[in-house]
Amino acid sequence: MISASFIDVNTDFNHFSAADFLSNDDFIANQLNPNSDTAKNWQAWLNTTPPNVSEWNHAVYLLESIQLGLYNYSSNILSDEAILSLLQRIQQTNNEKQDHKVIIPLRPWKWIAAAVLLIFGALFLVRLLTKNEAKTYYSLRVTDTDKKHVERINNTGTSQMILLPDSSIVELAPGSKLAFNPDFNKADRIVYLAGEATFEVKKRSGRPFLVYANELVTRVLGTKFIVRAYDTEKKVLVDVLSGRVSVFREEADQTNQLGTDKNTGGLLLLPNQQAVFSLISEELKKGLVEQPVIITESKQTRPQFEYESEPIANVLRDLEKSYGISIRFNEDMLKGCELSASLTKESFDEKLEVICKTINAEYQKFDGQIIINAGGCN
Amino acid sequence: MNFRVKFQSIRPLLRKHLSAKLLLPSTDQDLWKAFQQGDEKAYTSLYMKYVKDMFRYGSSLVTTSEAFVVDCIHDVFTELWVKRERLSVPDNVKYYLLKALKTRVMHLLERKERPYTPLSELTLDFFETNDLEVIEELEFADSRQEKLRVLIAKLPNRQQEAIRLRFIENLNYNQIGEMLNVNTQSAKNLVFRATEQLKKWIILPILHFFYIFLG
Repeated sequence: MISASFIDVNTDFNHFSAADFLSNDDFIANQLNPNSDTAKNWQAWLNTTPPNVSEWNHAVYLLESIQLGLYNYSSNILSDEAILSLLQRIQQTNNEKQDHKVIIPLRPWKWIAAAVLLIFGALFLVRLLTKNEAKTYYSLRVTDTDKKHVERINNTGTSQMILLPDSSIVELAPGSKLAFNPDFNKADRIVYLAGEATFEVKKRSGRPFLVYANELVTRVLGTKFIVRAYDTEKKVLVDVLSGRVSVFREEADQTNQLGTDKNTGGLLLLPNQQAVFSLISEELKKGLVEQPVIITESKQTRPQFEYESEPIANVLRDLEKSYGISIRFNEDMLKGCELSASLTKESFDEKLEVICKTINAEYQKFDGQIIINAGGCN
Repeated sequence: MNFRVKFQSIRPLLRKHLSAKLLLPSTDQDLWKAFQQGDEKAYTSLYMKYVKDMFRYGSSLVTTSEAFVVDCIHDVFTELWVKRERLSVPDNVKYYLLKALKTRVMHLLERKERPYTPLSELTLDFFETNDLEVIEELEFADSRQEKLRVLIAKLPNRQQEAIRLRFIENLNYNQIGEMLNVNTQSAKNLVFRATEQLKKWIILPILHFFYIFLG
């Protein structure tokens, strides 16, 4: 049937544009799931050296590009466990529907026993909840507001992936809790956190994403970062993995709802930077994350960190560029200093140590930057 | 020159291989008829074969958690089981299941039993294609895949749904029309407009930036 219809319209293909090909079922079916007949037919047509072969190529390229662009969609795969547990649920429902005629009547004393049990159970639960959650920042925020929140609690021993309604991804650490408004997508994107979580936030024009955690607010547009705010710890940490993040205290946010850069005491964080908010001293400080990672994506532009008599200034600039961490040094003093070393496997700190040993210098971390003190080569 | 699509799923090939070489009675229609007779194995095979496709398509219809879509798939399959003797045999089982899922999802959303919004009702402001805005967003994207994702996300929702159904789910335009409640020609037009727009961004070097970004 396919080959017959193919021959009928064969002549038309010579006038097809790329978009025409992509509006044609036979073309796409052959690209997605060819069989020997369709493949032969298209090859035969291509062998006639059609005048619009470039349109055909564009169509193939576009189709490939669209599929690549739809990767987020096509790779959204239900896990095997979820598939099996859903199957069990379906089978259970089917069995229940078949057995629905069998009703077991309960005797009156059983009803009473059940009611008593229920009341005690409820009381116990209420006590348990109020006892554990009293007074924590998170529970105040989540129960205080009028709106009901959707809450996710990770009681397992491993981190849990949560997909938010705006398709941002949260990796919730064990023992942590996350709450958000059911209207998350329509209103502001606000989440409340107790514990630790890594956020991979989808960028949405004009709709910032806010994380409230122990009096600290983290505001982003689209990035990846970690917030650590355990109720038992006396500080809040924000580590930036990519993109830009602004962090400020909650009071500052309330006086200035838009969270512009004028925020008093707010910080703008770049990748590999960290904000530490101490709940005791109420101080907000900028620093570097413990283990800075290379942030340049493409491997071609990434320096190899293999040096043969390379001026030290160039090495430091490589470091600065790859980690996005600014390094301050006195260029004049380091004139004539060279490095011959392979630093491919070393961490950021190890690389710095090797460099500083070579030039007899010391380094300091200050306000999210590296400062290289003194040094020089004779 | 590359004539084949690289992202072709291996499943259709496997399926073809099994039915041709082992002569198993495993076409969808055969499974369907067996399921209608009450064959639980056939029913389970159909479930295992299409549950992933249903899940990803269902997830694309609503801004929602996994649980809501999973509930809807549950409802579709349990309803099929109850009505099995009265059903006709569909020409294309996958299309039938996707359509049934969409009907279920939309039904629940209309009854407002769930606190989720269908994507089609979301604010339209960030779907408007403004070239400057596209350029700005592309600066944030760091891989070709991410850039293409951004461009596709700029298309109107119905065009996005149409290209997902055509280029990933491999439904034909007739079926896509049925899914979107329009005729076949309108379904083609949706994809035609989407591809024209993407072609403008991806292939034609009118916007010189994109050529560099995507090249």
